[in-house]
Amino acid sequence: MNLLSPMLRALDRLSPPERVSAHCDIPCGIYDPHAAQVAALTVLRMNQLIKALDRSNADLAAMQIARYTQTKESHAELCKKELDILWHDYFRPEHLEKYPDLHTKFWMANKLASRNKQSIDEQAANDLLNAVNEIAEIFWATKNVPTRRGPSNQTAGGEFVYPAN
Amino acid sequence: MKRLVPALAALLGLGAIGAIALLLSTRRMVVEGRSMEPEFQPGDRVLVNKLAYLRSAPARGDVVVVQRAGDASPHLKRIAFVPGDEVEAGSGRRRLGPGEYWLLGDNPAESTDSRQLGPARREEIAGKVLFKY
Repeated sequence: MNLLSPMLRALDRLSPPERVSAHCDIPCGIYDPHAAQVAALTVLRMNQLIKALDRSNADLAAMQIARYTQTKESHAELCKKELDILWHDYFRPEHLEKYPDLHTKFWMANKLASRNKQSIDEQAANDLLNAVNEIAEIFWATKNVPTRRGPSNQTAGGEFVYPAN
Repeated sequence: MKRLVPALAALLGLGAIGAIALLLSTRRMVVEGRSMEPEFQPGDRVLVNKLAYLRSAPARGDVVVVQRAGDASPHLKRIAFVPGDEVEAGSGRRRLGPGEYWLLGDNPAESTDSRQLGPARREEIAGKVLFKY
């Protein structure tokens, strides 16, 4: 922060600042919500594995809980990262005009990812997957690509949104 | 009191001139993307001096806005090498010629820069970042 910061921030409210790009700046133009979907499904699977764990051997169970939790944690974080790339690198103001609740959807999905880190809650994991799927539907719609919902065809079950073309 | 009024008026006038000069010589910009992490995060706002290189040459370490020919959007990068420096380009080692600057992102894993695009020309460097606000 700087002495001029309040004045410059006030100016920003009157006329927004220009955008300066600092992302993979070719730009490569390659974005896909599938990575976030897989991460969300992994979080769901870890919840299922924790729930189904055989606890007859306490040491083994403790080790498995640690492994499942670590994976749940890292994939919830990965899900947030993948969502954020879509959020601030792919989506543009014109998308927001068409989908005014876009920011809210990303915000809530990120919060759900955090909740999944904090808890063992299969419902929260399903909610995260659904939130990511809704973002995937919007993502493909902005590219005029029709989508369908179908089974993930993974052990975890659950649905993915797929491009239907 | 009589002397205070003109002094205050002069001070206000100087302030106004200063503010106008600042507005005309700078650009307010908001950062998108991660190629300049950790120092510059997405959403950070920066004040860019458009006139920084009128009298002095861009220097190693400067964070600059570059507007490459044929690319509509400005990019934020750091000057890694300046004219006369040797760089490791895709085709082997080479020395930067006059007016050539090697720009890199601080976060190389998520940056496209001189490693892929080659050096930027001095006239493509549109300003120097002064500070975040």
